[in-house]
Amino acid sequence: MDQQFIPRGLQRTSFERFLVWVLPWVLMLGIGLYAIYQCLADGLYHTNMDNRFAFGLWIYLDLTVIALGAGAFFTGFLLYILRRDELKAVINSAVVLGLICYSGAVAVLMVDVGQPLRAWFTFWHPNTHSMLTEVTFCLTCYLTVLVIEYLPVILKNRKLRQIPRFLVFEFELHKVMPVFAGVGTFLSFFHQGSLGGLYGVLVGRPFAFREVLGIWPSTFYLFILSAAAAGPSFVLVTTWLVQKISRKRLVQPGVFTYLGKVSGSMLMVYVLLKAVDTLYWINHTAPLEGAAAYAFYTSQSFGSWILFTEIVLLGLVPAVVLLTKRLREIPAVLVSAAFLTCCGIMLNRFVMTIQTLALPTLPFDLLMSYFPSWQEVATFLAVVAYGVILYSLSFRYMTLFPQERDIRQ
Amino acid sequence: MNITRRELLTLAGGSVLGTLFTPIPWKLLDDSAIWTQNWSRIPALRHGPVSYRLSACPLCPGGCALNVRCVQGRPVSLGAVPEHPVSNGVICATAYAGHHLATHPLRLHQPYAFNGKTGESTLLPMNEADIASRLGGQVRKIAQSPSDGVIAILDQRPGRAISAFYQEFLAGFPGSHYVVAPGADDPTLSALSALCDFKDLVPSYDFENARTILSFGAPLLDGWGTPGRMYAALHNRAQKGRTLIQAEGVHSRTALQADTWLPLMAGTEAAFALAVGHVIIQEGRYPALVARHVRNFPEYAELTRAFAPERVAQVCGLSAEQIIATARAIASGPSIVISGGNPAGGPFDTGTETAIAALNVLSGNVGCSGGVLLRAAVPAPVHAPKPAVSLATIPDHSIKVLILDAAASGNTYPLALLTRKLVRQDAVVVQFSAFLSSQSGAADFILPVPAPFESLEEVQSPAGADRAFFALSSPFMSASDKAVDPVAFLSRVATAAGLAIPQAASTEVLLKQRSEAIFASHRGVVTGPAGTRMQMKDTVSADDVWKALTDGGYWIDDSTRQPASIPSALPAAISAGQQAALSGTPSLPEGTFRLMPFGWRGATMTAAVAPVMSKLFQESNLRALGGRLHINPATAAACGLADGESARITTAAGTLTMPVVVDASVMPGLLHAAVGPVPNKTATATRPESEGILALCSLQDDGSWRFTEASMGKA
Amino acid sequence: MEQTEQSKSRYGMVVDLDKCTGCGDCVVACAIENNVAPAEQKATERTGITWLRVYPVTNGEAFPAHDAVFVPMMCQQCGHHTPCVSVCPQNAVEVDPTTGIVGQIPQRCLGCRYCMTACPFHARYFNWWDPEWPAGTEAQLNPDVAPRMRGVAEKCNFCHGRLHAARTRAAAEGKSNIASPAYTPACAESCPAQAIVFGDLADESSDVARLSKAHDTFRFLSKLGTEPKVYYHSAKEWVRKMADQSPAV
Repeated sequence: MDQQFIPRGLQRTSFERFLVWVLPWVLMLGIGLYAIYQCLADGLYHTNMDNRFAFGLWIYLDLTVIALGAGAFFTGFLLYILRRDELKAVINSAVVLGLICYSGAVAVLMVDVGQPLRAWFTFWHPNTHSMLTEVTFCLTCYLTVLVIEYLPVILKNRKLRQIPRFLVFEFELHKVMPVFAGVGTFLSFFHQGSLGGLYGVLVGRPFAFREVLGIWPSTFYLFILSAAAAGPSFVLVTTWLVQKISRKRLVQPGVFTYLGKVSGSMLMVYVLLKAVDTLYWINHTAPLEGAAAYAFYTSQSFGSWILFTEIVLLGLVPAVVLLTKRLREIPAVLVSAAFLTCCGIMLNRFVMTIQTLALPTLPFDLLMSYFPSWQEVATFLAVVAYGVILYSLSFRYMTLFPQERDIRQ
Repeated sequence: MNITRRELLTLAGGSVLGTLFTPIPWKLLDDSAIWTQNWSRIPALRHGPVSYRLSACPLCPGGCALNVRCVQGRPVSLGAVPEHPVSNGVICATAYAGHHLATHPLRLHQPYAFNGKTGESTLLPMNEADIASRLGGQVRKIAQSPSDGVIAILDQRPGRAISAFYQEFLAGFPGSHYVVAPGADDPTLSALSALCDFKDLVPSYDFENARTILSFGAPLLDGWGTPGRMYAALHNRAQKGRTLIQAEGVHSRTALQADTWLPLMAGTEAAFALAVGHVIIQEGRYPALVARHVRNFPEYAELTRAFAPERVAQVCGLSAEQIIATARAIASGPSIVISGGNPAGGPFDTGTETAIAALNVLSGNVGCSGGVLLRAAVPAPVHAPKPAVSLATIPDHSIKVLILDAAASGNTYPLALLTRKLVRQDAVVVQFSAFLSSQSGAADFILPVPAPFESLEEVQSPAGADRAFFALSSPFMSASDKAVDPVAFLSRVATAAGLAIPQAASTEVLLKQRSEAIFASHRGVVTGPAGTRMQMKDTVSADDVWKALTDGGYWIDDSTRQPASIPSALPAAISAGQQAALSGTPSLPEGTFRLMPFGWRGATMTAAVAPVMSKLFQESNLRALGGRLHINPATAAACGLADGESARITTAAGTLTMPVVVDASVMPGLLHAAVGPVPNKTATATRPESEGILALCSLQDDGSWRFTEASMGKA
Repeated sequence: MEQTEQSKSRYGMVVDLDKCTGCGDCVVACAIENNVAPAEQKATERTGITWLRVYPVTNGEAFPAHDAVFVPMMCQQCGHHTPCVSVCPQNAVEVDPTTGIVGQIPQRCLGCRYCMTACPFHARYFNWWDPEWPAGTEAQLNPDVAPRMRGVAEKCNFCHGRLHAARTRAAAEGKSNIASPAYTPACAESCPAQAIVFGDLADESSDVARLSKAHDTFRFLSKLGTEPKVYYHSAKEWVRKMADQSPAV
């Protein structure tokens, strides 16, 4: 029944099967929306956050999805600025992923803050010293950029193309896309960095605090690098996943290996700098703040294994794999390494958010514990469901992978 | 006209763009922000002229002066009165929130019949006249045939004008009892009164001149007496050459501040006190006059002979040197030995209290500056005809009608102490109370009295105070029409019973009579709210005195001349329990523990505490939340319990499950069970809180419940 | 009319831990003064609001070597790199340049809780519930301090309401300067042991300035370099050592 909306030359499943696929996700989204309603209507006591654990699952989610959504800006940067044309194959998908991640993050943030109606105060009374101001500004602007980048994808839809005005608009938009890619890259640099700076500036939290390099703490740069490493890997993993789920080949194998190579190089740089940063922090920054860094890793839940896992198992190992041509060309190894890269970045964001808050600061305090409430989990899952639904719709009705038509299925 | 799609879209786009240039979106944004600042659930502040007035705190017998800040006549905060001679510019946390009590969720607003004995507790609204007439019928029967059961009134704060009224009321009934609530008197002074003949005078502690204070767990710096007095007497002690020795099995707030803390094994207080007596006698450190004039001195010397410090040290967990040093300290100058009682744990058993009190006699500090001094009582208009008795002396199952007084004592006690005195059938318990309290659980009828600060209440020097003091808690809030005046109510009962019993119109009339008695006594000075001093011996008018007192003034007695000699005695024998404690083996069998309830005065659930006290109990761990069991890590480990887990406590009286707080300040083997409020502002007045751990305490024949043998396991 | 105290006052406190008995007067007096609502039924020590919280701190030894102090912990009014000020995205945290008091503007607060994450003293509290008083108690609120709303952070401001009232009184009397300090915060006023001394640290002759430099006076987490204006004093060595210790995890 919706055949006339499906792009020409693409095979898509029947509408009924599509509905069956989407329905569980809609249900998940519905539960999440109810949880969100509870939090907005009654107050944040529905969460298990508290005065000590003032950030929880949601902030972790925000940081993670924004890091993973970095594929949009980094792919755009490589394609439009550095002219790596092979990435045309995934740019649309990357943009959709970016849009999902960023809009999801902003939506959750609006539930997370106690007074969402005052969100615009940040623009009215901005504190230019606050990392969160930078994040808010860049996030809002970049979300706008993403919407603009997403527009041509929508406008290319078979039905919409029948309106000549849209066709012209899309064409014009396409010409200025490098400008938006540039703006997007610039904005992304700042907010990815600022998200890292968010923790790096916490002078009261010796576990998170890092000294300033230039005008930002070192986490600022590390977050940019790690996001740049995670973004392509996430695009790689999602593309592979969509291939598996849709049982179609969507891009040429060369695109996968190229994404893997890019991700691997960024990851290698990141891991090396992260190692240097960690060593400097253990030996200089933390002692300066009166903290023995080893003390941060003496608890059961956050032992030094977490540091090893983050830097070696989920950092150095996938980086080496991705940079080794022979390994990279084995699809299973490539996807696994990309997946590990994503996990490494997720672990990093977890450590920065949860471990930072769990570790006591007052000398007589104990390790804090926190477990999210069902409302927090449901909201988290609602973002996942929203992402799946939006991506499924985009995949069905828009051309996310231009090569799909040309590849013999 | 044909509108094309394009035109429609242009219009929409243009409208959006155009709207941005109108004030509409911006005004909406602004209004939404303003709305978040003015939600109807955010209370609106009421501004107005500020005024201050003086009053006194009726929330416990401490007798602290209050400075009330009012806006448009409504109280907005309570504060201390600097330089006040009794409370020294100090009030306690409970008092700071006292003005919130009138609107407490547990507040009773009308009389109820309470059916709390069927398990399904319900409050049935009643009216005062019905209760009065039903009670009148009961009372008439009692007057006619006292053999079926008698009437008793439990006075929470003896010595007040209403106390005398209770006594007069009861004098009309043969066999009736005027009972002083457990813990209302200072246990050491009560024990001393049994050893010494103080005649009409009241014993008191002269902390201000003592050199050494030996306290057996008395919470001297945690609510005992008048807090301001204790802070003044015990702070900067070093400069005053004063030493505080705290002997108890818990590193309590007072023990933390003490110069010496003796971690005394709970239950061995008597042995320790007798060992101290032993050292004083063996080293000849008692005044010669004591040996000559105090009765039973040779018997006491003989008795203590068995309590050599070396032997006692093994039992009570201290060293012999500590016992000897303590003995030397209290014998070296003016000293006070005090047990103090606990607001929820009550006094020790009589034998222990006597052994502790005896040290004051032995060291020659009764009637001496820096020891136990005597003062006159506050003048009263009538001589109370009915002597006070303690609950322990009343035969079980003998009371048919029990009336519970409303005054806040700050202390609590097991309800079983009351209920075992009631006749088995048709007993009636009437409670006067402003709040649904833990004692409401025993009541059949509850009569709502005005909340604190809603009516004139009497405030006197607490037990142990060094001088007679009298003030009125003058109201700064109005009581509801449904509030019951106990005096008027009991007069109505008497009328309904057709008995010729002295009647009085109201509490206020009694208070005015007392004010006149103070005036007529020609003793002491009334200080008015503005600081004016009126010597009672000069000619002033009784009306001036009444006016000054109702305006927040206070009366303080002249100092009493100490009698030349006080006939005293020392105990000649001790109970079997203390003998057993000396046998050298731990008195508790393996696997059993010593359960010891404790509480903080004013927060023991016999009256409400303001909801904002949640800051201490619920929103922080500064105070022990009621219903928690504090145990040493070693005790916890022995029972396989971790912090926050639930323990099952079993005593002869039953079993109870309580969450555990692992607390290194508690001696191993001790189950330190917190009795106190569970501040909860949303609680509705439908049923009282259960009395918790107090229900598990074994009641001694002397009415004490300090220690109970208990076993504990993981729930 | 704008009032200034001595142009560069630095209001601070010295808390004598040896004197503190942990009675809780300061905590309740603070809540009454600043219209902090009683706990919601489900609130815990981690979701409640105590502008001033008193922590019982032990030396960690077994009975009877056990020792403890009570540490009243209010906003430490950091004077350098104030952690909560720089992080707030919308300037809802401001330092009053005339007093050095770190103020919180609840009406501007977004409720992002970044400041709470930043504060190493855990002196900031969030309104997880709508603040609620039992019916009738609202009429007894202090008219000098605006109640907060759900979803915002709040904290101790050295009883700014009292400072404001003192300034207003001075203005009404036509004075352009008020004494420094012109008021006493509720906690210092209520302390029965007089363990809390409040005053102007910049005034060398003040008690608080003298005590802040006294022997055995220290600050918590001084190595973070945030220069708190709340000092503590204890003659007990384990207490002073503890104050700068890395927490044992």
